Amino acid sequence: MLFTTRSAFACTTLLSLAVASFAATERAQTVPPSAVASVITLDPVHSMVIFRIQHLGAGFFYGRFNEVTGSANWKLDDSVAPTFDVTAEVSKVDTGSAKLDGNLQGPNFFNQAEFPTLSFRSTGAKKLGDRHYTLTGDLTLRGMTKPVEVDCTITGIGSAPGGQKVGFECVFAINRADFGMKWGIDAPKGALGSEVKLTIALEGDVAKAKE
Amino acid sequence: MNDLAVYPFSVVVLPAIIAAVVACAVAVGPLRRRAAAVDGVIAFALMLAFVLSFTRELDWNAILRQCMTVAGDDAPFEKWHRIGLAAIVLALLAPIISALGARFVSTSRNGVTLGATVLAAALSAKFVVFPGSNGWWQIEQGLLVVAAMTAIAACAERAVLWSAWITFAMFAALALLGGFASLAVMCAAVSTASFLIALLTTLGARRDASAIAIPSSGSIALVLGTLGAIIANCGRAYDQSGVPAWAWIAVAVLPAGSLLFGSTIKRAATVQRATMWRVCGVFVGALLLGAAVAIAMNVTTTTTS
Repeated sequence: MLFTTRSAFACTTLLSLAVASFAATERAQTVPPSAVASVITLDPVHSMVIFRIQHLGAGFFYGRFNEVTGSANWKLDDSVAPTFDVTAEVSKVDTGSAKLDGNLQGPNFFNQAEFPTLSFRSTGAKKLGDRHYTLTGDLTLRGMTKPVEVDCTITGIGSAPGGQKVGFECVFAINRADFGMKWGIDAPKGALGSEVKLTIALEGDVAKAKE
Repeated sequence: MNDLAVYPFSVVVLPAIIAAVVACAVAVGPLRRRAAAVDGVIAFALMLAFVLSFTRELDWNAILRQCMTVAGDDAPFEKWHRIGLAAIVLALLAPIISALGARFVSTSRNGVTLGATVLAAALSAKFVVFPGSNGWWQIEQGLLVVAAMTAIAACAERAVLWSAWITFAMFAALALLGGFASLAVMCAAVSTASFLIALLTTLGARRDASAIAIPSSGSIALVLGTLGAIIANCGRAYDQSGVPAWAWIAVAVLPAGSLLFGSTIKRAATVQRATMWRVCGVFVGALLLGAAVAIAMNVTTTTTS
């Protein structure tokens, strides 16, 4: 009986240790060991700003700004909301048409000669769900800075030879007239929509940082 | 009417028609015999076309913002909007200079024109600054004002309005090529206004034997030369499509093309024929320049790709 009790205790202990060990292993898989405050250096090749605008009241026209630079901060265990400070150069606008790129870089639209960059800097966040936030931040466009609300999703955490990578997608809409970009809204009326939907798609390398 | 069809009417045709209506006061009727009135009113009308087009395309705040803080206006300050202010200053200056010139005898009148030229060159060099500009560029802008005015005053003679029609049409074409639609429509408005006023003054002269010819010196040369030089520098500063800088400068002095058929002009039997050959010279100059720009841009594109 004593043996049986001892055996049962041993079994329970072993089982507890096994469960604890399994739980620890499981935990290590879902929450990476780098679950500390991480600085994410953006990878310009895999980061971009995509914009969408309605043309002549008909189809949606898409373009992108390539090579977005800047940084992001986020705890990989999702215990802290992400923060962003990203910049795109107007010279990197890419619509697939050189003529259209020139038009967009001109004074009627982004006015590259006077305002060579556009940027977004987050200032606050509200958690909506797992890896899903509403961020507030400042969008600077054509020299004007205005507050915007951004729907932000952490799209994934991946492994690469150099370390871990994290992806983000921030979606929001602006009225371009608010930023002094009025061409095509009233004159010529209806040539281009006033609402521009923007998607900031980012991928960055995780660098361990001190807590 | 389709909204898109209304656009060119509202920013090009309507300002030009209003300018032509204003110019009617001196194109036909007793005022046509007074050189100062003809010069001042036509110069004013041409700048009016530009200003109306500017304000239709943008708004008055774009001009006001250049010199004061406008309540409730948070739009960004853009350097190229200064063209609108420059056009207003030129519109106001034109009748004053014409009136001043009329008070003096010929020698002093030339002095007034020379003084106005230097003043316009100095003011545009000092106050009209575009992105990427430096001290040399500003000096160059001042010199271009003088060169453009000289090209108009010395070469265009009776073809001054017809040459402005072609010159500003070329500016509009270059602006469109350079991805600057707003500048294109403003230049097109001045071009259309020049055409309409040239037509009106030609018809007016036919009806009235004592009507004077449209003076190519004075305020008309001042406003067209100064605005042309400023537009040339604005266009090259904001160009995003590889339009060569020399093309903008060349358009500013395009009225010098009037002399292309110099010997034919000298042999012309009538003044009207000489004028026609001058217009032909500017037109051929514009065609040659257009071809040179097309070749240069094609070469650039090929080299880049």
